[in-house]
Amino acid sequence: MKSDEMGSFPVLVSSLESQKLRISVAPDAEKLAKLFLFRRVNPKDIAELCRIARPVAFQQGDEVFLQGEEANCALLVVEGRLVAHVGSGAEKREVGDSRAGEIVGETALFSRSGKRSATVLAAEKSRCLILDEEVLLTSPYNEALVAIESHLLGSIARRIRSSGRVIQRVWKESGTDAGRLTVEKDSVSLRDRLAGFFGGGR
Amino acid sequence: MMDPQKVSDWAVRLLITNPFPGKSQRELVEIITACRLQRFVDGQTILKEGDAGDELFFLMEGQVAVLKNDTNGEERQLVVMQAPTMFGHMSLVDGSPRSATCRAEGTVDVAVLSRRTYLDLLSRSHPVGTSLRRLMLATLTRQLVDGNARLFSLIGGEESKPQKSAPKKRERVPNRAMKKAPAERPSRAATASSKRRPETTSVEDVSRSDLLEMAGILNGWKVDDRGLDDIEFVETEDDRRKSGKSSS
Repeated sequence: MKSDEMGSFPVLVSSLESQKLRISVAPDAEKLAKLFLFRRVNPKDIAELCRIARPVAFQQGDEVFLQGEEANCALLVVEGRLVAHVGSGAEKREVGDSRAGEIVGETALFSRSGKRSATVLAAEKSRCLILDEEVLLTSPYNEALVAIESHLLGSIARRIRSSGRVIQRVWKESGTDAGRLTVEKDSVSLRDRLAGFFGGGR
Repeated sequence: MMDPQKVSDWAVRLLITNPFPGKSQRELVEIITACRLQRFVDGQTILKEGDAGDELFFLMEGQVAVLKNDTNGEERQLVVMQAPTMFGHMSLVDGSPRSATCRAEGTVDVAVLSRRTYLDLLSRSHPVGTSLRRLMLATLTRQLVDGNARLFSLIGGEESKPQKSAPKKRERVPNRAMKKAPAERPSRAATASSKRRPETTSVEDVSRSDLLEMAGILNGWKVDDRGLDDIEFVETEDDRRKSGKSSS
């Protein structure tokens, strides 16, 4: 029937559009759907996340973030591996690596004044989605974003506790001899002790 | 029951001090509506250092003193918090014990969010849940970022000056991503932050007061007395386990 044909036209267009959407985001969405982070997330929401968050690819050795630079986005690793390190030269120290389903540079999502606390390089060919404030505002109730945010609450709290634990440890080691402490018979400044933990230094 | 207009005004003020993406006064008012309102009189303890924490407090009216014991077991005041703010949230997020004691200075009105309600709201993908989650994330992130900034300014400013490493390529996120997608505009945050220049920092000796200040920033209570060199940190079972000491 003609009315059916007329009626089916928008449906067909809609179907084609959604198919086009599936084609463009399907590889990333399929990879993300297999991750533990998104195990309870509706596949449609994962596909939507892949549509609104721009993808970015890195070759092995590419510099992703630079310690000390302004931070204005985070990355969701879709495939590959990124490594973070602090310090430079002889002081350079790897502080972590991130694989598929992990988020790198997350503090930039909720703070406008932050700087990168580590340099991040691609340890292998990698693909990521860029998460920024625009993504958060575009689809605030997307289940995939809810899963990301819930995960970040725990990981940021752990980072705070971990830093607090180091400070507490240095505090206890320092006793009342303000400014210096003794570690394995060597007297070192509190600053050098902290730098040893956090990768700073002159 | 609290005056709705007062709650609404409070929410506006909190959003100025604690902004978060998609911030909404209406949802913040709904979060307060889900809380139990409680009044404390002058000198009354609201929460105690070392105790388990099952509640988050929104300070609606009044002042709250933050205290820690010193090495002699005597209480020392670190700072006085003013409304509007929130406190006690760290214990709710990661189950850790209270990091300091909070006591009412004068009459204090708080909105108390229980763990049960917190978890219930947080798990939802609706406006109130999203606002609470993002308020928490923005607050925790600020603590971490401020703590890191203070830390790196003390130990030599590595965070405040980009390093000269020898990368294979200098193209980095987000600049490259912006170039790749000309149709996409940089966010306002990105544009604003790119105009700021890295700060230079002076390198001075780190003192125990500096350490306490950093611990305070990380925990969400900023110390305003820098003469507290003998504060005692309560070591938790978790701390002992992670530093490799036994609990016995």
